[in-house]
Amino acid sequence: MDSIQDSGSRYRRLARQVSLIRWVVPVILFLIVVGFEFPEHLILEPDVHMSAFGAELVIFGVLGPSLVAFVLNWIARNLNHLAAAYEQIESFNVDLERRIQERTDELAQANEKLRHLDRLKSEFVSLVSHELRAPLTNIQGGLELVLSTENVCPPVQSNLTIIQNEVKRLIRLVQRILDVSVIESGQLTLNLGPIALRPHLRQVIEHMTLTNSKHPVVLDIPPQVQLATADEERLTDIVTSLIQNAVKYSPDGGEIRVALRFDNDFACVSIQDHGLGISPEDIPHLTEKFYRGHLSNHSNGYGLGLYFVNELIKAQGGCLQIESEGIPGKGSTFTFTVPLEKETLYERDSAY
Amino acid sequence: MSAILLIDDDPSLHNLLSQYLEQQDHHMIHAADGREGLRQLFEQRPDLIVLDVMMPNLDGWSTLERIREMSSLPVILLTAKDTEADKLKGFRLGGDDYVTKPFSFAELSARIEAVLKRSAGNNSQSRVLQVGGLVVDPVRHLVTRDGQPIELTPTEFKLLEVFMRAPGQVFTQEQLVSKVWGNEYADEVGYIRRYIWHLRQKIEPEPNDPTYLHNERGIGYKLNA
Repeated sequence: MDSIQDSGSRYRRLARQVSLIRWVVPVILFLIVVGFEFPEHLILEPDVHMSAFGAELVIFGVLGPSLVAFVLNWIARNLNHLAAAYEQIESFNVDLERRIQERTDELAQANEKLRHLDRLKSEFVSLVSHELRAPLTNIQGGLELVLSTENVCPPVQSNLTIIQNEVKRLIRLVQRILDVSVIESGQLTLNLGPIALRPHLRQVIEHMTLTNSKHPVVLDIPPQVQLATADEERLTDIVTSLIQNAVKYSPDGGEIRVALRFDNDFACVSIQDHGLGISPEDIPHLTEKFYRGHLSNHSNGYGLGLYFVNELIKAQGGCLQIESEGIPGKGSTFTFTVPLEKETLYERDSAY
Repeated sequence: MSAILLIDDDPSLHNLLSQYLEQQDHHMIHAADGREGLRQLFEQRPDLIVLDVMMPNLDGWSTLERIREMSSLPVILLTAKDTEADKLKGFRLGGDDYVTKPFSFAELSARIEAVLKRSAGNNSQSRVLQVGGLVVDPVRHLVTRDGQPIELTPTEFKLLEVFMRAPGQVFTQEQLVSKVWGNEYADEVGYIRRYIWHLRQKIEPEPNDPTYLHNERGIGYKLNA
């Protein structure tokens, strides 16, 4: 931009200089010619005919300088054109810059407005979810109160239990929406620390199998003493969620295999089921918010579970990989990674 | 039978929770906001307070501050927010426990029992443990060193609690693994050295020259009494 402006003014300056010399140079040339021709013809060779003196004066003193004046004039004119063209480009540039600046400002304003709206949306979702908690407490507590009395007849008790389960489902949904709003507002806090994956995974699974006996869980966890870095409670959420998913899409009795592998800097935890499987075209979208794909026919999920799990894994420095051939009975494998602690961490400590 | 003061602006919760807790042989006293709660505290002398954080007039935090100016009665906070910052604020102001809505009445009832037992001083499992400047509160899951909160992972907390319950006692690595993860991991002692290293980074003023957690060469570790 600067060089265009510089070039414009340089050519304008040059044109001005050429304009100045376009008259000076011919006059000097004329005077030189007169200076040479006058002594030559009138003093040194006075007998030479005057017509020769006149002819040479016209040719060298008038036509020559005129030609030079014409060329210089032509150069000055073209330099002026060139300078004008550069000035025009410069003015276009200034105009373009102004327009770009205007558009950038407009975009920044629109962006800020969108961000503000997004913040409002997150605050609204969070507020509504929090407001839902009080009535949910009362409904849940009221049901507990009724069910704790002894004189409830069996059909009523059965219906109340159904309502109680639905309330629990609603509570889970509200909690999940709040979890997502925490992630989206960037307020997710992690308590990262060492974690012994082998005992941790076994404990999580033992706890889960207490409440689900329909799906045998097979553990393939090597006795390797290695610590990873993760948030223990969030890791429990991830594993629990992935196993619950495997259970949801598996037939009763369908085996679920949980395996742990150590691979250089990461631990890989995989959860494999033998359920419905996932069609390959759904796999890349499974971690998108509200995406349910063909699974929507088989479950009553909200499309938030895998989104949340994936975000939790990413926040802890890992990644989630989903594999399935989409063939019922062959099932799917969800594998996530957790960064391992480096042994060098302890080496510099003398008290270790 | 214990007298429980419920300070909450939600009349439905008052009604239902009172019925539930009265079935458990508690006597219920109601207050619809912080000011009334303070008045009832003065007049009725309850054994425990269940206090909602979000209330008009005087909110739960301010009410708790006023309560602590005149009484050390156990207080359980009820709140719709479950962020770590809120929990810490509640504990810092002197709350004894923290229950997030939506909670089940059975859970609140169990917590009321635990806090009452603890305040009566007859529950060794829930009493606050202190060694030097190090304080571990097993119920509130809080660790402080010289008054400053320290954030531990649940397993680090469990390991520290083992030491805090028996200051001066030397534990072998096998014993520690069994206490933290269970007997089936007794031969995976390698975890302990690493966990001790992490624990020292968090609780020791000088991790390389430990004040609290000491190696007993060839035997194991102990917490200096």
